[in-house]
Amino acid sequence: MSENAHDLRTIIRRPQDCSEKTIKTFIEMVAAGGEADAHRVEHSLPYTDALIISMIGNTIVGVSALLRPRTSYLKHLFECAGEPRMCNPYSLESCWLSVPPEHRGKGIWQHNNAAKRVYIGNRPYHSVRRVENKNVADLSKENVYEHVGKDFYSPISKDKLRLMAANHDLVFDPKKTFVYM
Amino acid sequence: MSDQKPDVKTILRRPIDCAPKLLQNFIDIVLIGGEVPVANLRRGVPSADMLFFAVLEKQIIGVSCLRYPNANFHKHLFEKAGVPEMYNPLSLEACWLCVKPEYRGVGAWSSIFKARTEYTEGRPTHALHRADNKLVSDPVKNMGYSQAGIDFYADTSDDKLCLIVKNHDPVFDPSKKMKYC
Repeated sequence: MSENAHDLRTIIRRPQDCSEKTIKTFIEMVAAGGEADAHRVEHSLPYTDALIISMIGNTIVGVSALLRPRTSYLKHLFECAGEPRMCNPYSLESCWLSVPPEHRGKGIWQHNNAAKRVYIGNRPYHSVRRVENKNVADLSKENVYEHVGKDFYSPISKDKLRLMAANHDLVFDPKKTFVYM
Repeated sequence: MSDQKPDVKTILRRPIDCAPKLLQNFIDIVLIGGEVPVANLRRGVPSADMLFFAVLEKQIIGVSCLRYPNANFHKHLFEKAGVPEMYNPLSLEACWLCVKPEYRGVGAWSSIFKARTEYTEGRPTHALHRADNKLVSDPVKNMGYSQAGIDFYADTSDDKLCLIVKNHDPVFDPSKKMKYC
């Protein structure tokens, strides 16, 4: 039976609410994307805030995640970009976006991203992209982000990196917190 | 001799910011309480929202946690208590409170509770305790918690349980979110 992209839906799950099968598929799909190896994803997955899973019917056709990064790593990123005062400990890292080649061009990336933005609301978040990866490092394609400081090299990657942030104040305001309203 | 209580401090750490040794220390202390299987802790601790460590003279003497429980289990609790309409997916569970026996009575419980209250200010939280555990039930009701529904038996315990909540609406309002401000 052919897949119908009109049946595309994106669900957001905390890792503790996912079945082992879903977790396994998630890890394999991220690893196949080539931006993170399976071992690293498996290790970090319990620390994620949410997994964002796009499906056509019952088939997972794209994934991404919101990670609560290590505080020292977060500081490192903003220092490398030359904007340490923008570092916000509440910022989630948008990462591990992967859409298998056979499902590209169906609007999955957009769908996944839109669901993520609704889930995040006005919470600060950021993303690290390889500068040479023009598809995802181009800020004009995602106008919610702003380019933080300057592109940089870091020990975490051999590639030149770009830090992008959304809902961040130019200087972190420690008085701000989360209010249920 | 002075009857002043020692100066117990509570520090907050997200699991991803904890060294493996510190996470193990957390688990070991919760296991002293004898109420949580080790497998639950190994699986659940990394996905906790926040870990609390009561410290006296550089020794960790007590711990606690805030976490998002598995959604099915979370719903199950409110159904068992007879108030399914109060179920709030944004509610954090306060759990795994344990103070080393040799340090009970020095203020660890109060210190953890104060830190937890400050952290969750205005945010929906819930907790589960044995209905006959008056050591817990009476003080927490003085700290803004109230019982949700009725005492009940659940598959996870041989004891009758009491579900307590704070900042929960009588009926969950899906238009309310956590906003950063």
